[in-house]
Amino acid sequence: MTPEQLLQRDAFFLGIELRLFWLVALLYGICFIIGIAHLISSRNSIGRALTKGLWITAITHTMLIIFRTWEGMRPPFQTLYETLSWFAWSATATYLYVQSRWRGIHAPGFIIAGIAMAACLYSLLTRSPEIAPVPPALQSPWYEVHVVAAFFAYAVFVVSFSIETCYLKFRAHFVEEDGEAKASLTHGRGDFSRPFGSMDEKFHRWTHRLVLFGFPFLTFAVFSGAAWANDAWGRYWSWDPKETWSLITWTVYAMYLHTKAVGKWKGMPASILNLIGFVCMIMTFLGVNWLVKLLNIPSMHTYAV
Amino acid sequence: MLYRIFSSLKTSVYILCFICLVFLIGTVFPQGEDIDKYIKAGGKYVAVVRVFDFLDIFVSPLFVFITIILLINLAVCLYDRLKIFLKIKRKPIGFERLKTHPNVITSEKADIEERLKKIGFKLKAEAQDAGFPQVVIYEKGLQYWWLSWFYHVGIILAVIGFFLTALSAFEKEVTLYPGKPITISLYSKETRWNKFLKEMGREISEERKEDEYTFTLKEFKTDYYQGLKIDYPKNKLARLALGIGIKRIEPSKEGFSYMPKMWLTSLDVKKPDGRVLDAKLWVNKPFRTGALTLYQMGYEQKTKVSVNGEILEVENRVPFQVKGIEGKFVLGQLKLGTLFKKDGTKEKINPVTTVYYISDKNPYETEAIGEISLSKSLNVRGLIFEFKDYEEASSLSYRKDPGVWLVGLASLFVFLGLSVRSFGAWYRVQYAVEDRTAYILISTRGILADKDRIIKKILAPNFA
Ligand code: HEM
Repeated sequence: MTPEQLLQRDAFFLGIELRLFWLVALLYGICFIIGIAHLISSRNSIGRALTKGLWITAITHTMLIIFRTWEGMRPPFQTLYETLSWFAWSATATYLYVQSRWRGIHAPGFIIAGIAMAACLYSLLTRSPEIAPVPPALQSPWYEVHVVAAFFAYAVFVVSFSIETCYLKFRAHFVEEDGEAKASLTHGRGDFSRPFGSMDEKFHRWTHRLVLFGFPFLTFAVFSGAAWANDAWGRYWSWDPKETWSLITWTVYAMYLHTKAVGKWKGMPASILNLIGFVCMIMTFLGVNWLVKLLNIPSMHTYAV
Repeated sequence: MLYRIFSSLKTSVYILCFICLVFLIGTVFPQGEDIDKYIKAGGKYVAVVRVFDFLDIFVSPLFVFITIILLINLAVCLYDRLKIFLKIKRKPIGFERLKTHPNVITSEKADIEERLKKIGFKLKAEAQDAGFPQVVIYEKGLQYWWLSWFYHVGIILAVIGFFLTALSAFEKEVTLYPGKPITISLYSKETRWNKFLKEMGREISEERKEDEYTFTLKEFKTDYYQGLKIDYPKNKLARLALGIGIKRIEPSKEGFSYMPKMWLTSLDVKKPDGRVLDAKLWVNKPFRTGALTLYQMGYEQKTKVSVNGEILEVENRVPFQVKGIEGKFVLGQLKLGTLFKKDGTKEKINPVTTVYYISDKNPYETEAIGEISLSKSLNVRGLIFEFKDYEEASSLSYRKDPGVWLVGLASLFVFLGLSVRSFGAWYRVQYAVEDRTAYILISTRGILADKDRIIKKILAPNFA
């Protein structure tokens, strides 16, 4: 094939991919609206529709990710256009797994849908979808494990955040009525309906377990990043803004885990730290690019922009 | 009193919070910047910035102080916990508390202890209050408090490794042109530790022959991809139109671009003992021998051009002047080496570079005025540019860091300890029997701990 023909072919496939990506963003949007309806009406049938909608969206999104991987013949998380999509997909997939463990609750799906939709739109409206080959800096065995670990931790933290926010913001919905959790939002089988004490405890147990699960992955992401930097730049730590923010995120989640071991701080203080951890995570992922531009700070990580 | 403060988990949360604040400052204030430049750039809070060293916060006394406080906190905590683990024998809760515990499970089965033993539980303790049935503890799994202890030790080691790096690591760069060997020393008088000794009036040793390495470049290679472009609109509505299918995405009318694929260096490394090693390295693949590590950073290029017959030797990407002409010229990056084409074939690149012009009136704008190569000269604005020759050098950095092994080892400690603690499974069963009713209280740690499975096993009608 001539370069012109190859380019025509790339443009054709990219056209298909973009339509699929817009469809995924639209589906997330629809789930988000169903989620609002669920919260307003408190009807369990709408909650179930939200979860079903998220399943359909996640399957479509999986197809998109596979298609992109095939187009580029490389892992689909090299540019910010790609990582935003990967972030939305992994958060949704993780949420659906967690949700399937305590089926009865659907409300946090509304936050997941909102975050995933925002990530997709941000990617579609501001980034270029062009498929660039792998630059020298990324040709390292550390690349895939580092990124996968980081995004897996992010996904778990997003789910923990969605449950925490739901609980804090819509607490009233979850209050037990006559000893029974309010049916519409919390009824069902699984862990939440087991006799583990109050609803407060059940929620906190889940958010705690999720952070505890994500934390070793975040730790591995930080360490593998340092090992990679040691090979690439000869310095395992440069106090680059992205590195520093990852350390802030790591420390905030360590604080969260510590508060879980202090009797008096187990409740609200821990919840607040979980929310701060989420904000720090978003700062590490996206905010640093913005901060670097705003304050004109040199960063070795700006190739991700 | 001080011991109590330092052994408290609350203190560690406060300290970690403080450390986060310092990290935050480090990402907001430009690190390594000169204070005068900061003032000139309109920086506020000059007094605070100066006193607390905000422009070099990660080596400032404030940061070192907080880190040492954290180390003390960690050390005291670890000592305190160790004392507790070693001294305290496990003691079950009293029977009354067990019986009335909200999570207690009851059963009429008589063989619960046998069942526990069969699924791997071990008897750890027993106690009996006067007039009450005996309460026993069975446990299974790795004891999480030891794992916890283990990775907190790892954190201490990592911080010490960090200090070691900060005090004694150094790195420098060398640029190697073909046939021009360079000798470097793996000793530096400029490390923080040596500088500190000097300030204290101590003598620091001079560079020694035993630390000298000589590098001779044999080959430096660059590979490029053929970057093909598509026209993707910047306008958001146009992007939406693409998504809906109203518009089609088109290939770009511009030609292709050269995108870096890899830079590879091949050199001879003469060690202090006279041995010569054949070294090959590329981006992400350093070369290590003894205490020396060499990294591929980038490259430098020089091009010999004639402009209207006058020969100039210029460094690519550095502006130069042509006599009698207003403004400056720059030669862009020299493309040479191998081109990996999109159709899967390879091609040797005929060395080529772009000529740019920068006018004195508008020094921030570079205008591409044409390309030159060995076979193609450029005739523009009354000037004839001819490409005569070129030279390419490999830019390497070398580093010695005595802290890196400790940080690496500590990271392994932390990661393994943390993972086993978080993902593993630990169970404790407290158990007592009164009037043929068994009271069972199960607690777990770790994500893989499956309480339900244990309950099912011990309460199942038939134990298999
Ligand atoms: C950079 C500093 C520190 C980090 C990153 C860190 C990390 C962690 C993490 C992630 C956990 C929770 C894991 C879990 O739930 O098992 C934890 C638990 C704990 N930490 Fe730390 N820690 C630090 C400093 C300290 C200090 C200074 C103390 C001393 C007071 C301390 C004492 C404890 C205790 C007692 C636990 C609970 C034990 C457990 O549940 O395993 N930590 N730490």
